[in-house]
Amino acid sequence: MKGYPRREFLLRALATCGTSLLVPIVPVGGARNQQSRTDAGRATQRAQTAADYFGGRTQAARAVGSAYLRQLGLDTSAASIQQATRATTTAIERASSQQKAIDALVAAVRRDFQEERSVQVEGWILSRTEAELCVLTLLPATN
Amino acid sequence: MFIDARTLADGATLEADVCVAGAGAAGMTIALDLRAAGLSVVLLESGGPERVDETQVLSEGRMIGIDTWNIRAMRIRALGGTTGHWAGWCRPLTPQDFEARDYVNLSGWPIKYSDLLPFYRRACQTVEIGEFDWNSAARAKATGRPLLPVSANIDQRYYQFSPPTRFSRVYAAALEQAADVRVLTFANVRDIRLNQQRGRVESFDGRTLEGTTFHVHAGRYVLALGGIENARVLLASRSQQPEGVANGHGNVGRYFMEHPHYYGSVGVVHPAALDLSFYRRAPSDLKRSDGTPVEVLGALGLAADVSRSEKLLNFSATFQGVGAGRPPSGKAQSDAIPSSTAQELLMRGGGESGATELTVRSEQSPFRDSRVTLTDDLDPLGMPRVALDWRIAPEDDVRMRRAMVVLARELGAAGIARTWVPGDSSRFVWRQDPGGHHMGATRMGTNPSVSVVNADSRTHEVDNLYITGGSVFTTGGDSNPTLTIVALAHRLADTLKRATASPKKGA
Repeated sequence: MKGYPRREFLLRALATCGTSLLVPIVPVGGARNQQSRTDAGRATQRAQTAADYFGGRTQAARAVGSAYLRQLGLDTSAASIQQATRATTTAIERASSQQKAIDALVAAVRRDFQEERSVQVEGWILSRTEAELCVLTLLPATN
Repeated sequence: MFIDARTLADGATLEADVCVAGAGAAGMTIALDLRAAGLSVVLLESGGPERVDETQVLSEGRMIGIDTWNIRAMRIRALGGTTGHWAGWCRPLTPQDFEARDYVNLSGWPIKYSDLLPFYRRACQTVEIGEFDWNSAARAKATGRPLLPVSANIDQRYYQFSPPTRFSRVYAAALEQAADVRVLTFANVRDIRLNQQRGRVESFDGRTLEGTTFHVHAGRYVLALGGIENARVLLASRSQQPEGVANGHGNVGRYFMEHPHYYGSVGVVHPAALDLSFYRRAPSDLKRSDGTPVEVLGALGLAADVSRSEKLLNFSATFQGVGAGRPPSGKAQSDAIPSSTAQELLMRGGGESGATELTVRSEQSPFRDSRVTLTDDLDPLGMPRVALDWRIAPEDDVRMRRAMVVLARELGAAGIARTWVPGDSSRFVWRQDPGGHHMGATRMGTNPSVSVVNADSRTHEVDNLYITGGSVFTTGGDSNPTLTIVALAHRLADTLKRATASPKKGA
């Protein structure tokens, strides 16, 4: 017997009940998938920008990023990374190109030091943006 | 002339315009200045021409607070005093060091930097450095060794190096030839005898280790025995007053200060191309009076307005091992993130990096519980031995860490370095080594309730008794003290000249 796929069956069944409340369900589910794909794309972009900022050499940055997350009491999950890097991700997303993003980050790092937005990670005095970039380099390994 | 006190008749009496106890940098400077003014001087020295164990034993004592150096070996009882092993680092206190800071306990000298300036100029000649010129930009230009490209929040400064001047070698001959200066060697001040009203000194009573006693009567008396011994002799002179001399307010021995030296405790990574040559000890365009070049060494501190706004203590940081290309030692970096990792972070994939360490010389704030006291142990002269309870106010440590963070930020903002600063976790080692700089135990001030001598270096309580040396420092700044000690000695000599010429009692 060729059966309906379970999800389609449920939708048909509910549609016969005449409820209009379920109409939005289809587009919402699609949006979630799309959103998820978009989030993954953004994460990749952020990680790539962070990697590019460090000249493509991310071993040191990943070590610092892990230490910074530990210091904040966070794990290396995507949610934690997102939570720890809000200011920097905004700066990345505002830039119109990868190069402009990196230029903006270089300026942000200096500005952090000038405006007392530094953090101390295992004793090293770093710019907050710099520490957040280190965290972003952890993204590919966690998603 | 030199007289071995052991050859005096027992109970001998000597008279002079001024009696100076201690023939170190301060005492010899005063004696030579007074000689030039035609005053007669008796200069008492516990030791002889060279350091010998028999007299060094008189410096034995205990450290009961921060215990880092040998109290006996750090001080020399011989002609020239501790200049016998002085390393020659010279830098004046800054104008801000003399000012009151509401966040530093009992700060604010009763004299200004400008009051000491003419004497600093004389001191430069006495300790055989170049002229009184501390302009880093000019020095960098003249030597071709650039300053770091940092903001004006960083004060770039330098030390000048004395040969170093061994006062016994350089100035003993002049004293020997001076008919009006009698230098008594192996002569120890055993007691300060006051008049009946306790307002004036009648004599310095002395004794040799062999038991010969003597008395010196003078119009004015100076203690120039060193930062610890000045306090000790005042406290131990209790034949007439149980609390000792000039100690009615209980301040003698209190507020002892050192310069905490944090050797190589701060790690710095930087691009290998960064020119740090100004921060390496090397000959400069400055010349001594004999025409030989003076070595200088660059250092970093915070600009005065930054220190003030951040409520920080003064410090100077020198680069250690510049040019050696070695990484910071284990103590100057994190275990989890070694300097190699920080270097990679800084360089962002381009160029070679370097690493070094900072040695930080710091001010400490006057702290009443940091003090010189006497013990029940007696030395061979029958004088109580000293116990040194050196302490640092708890807030000083917090301020120094904060100062290092501010410095690190400035280096970061300039894009030239990332800096490792010890955190407050117990696994970080923040070594508080000393500089052997003994200050504050008979501090200068206008208020007798928190000081021992006035702006003229005269004790508040005894009219004709003066004290000089590191012990009169109100606050210690971060500069090595010898240049300031010699400047204060020149200033006191001028005060004594004026006082002796005046018929008025005291200064």
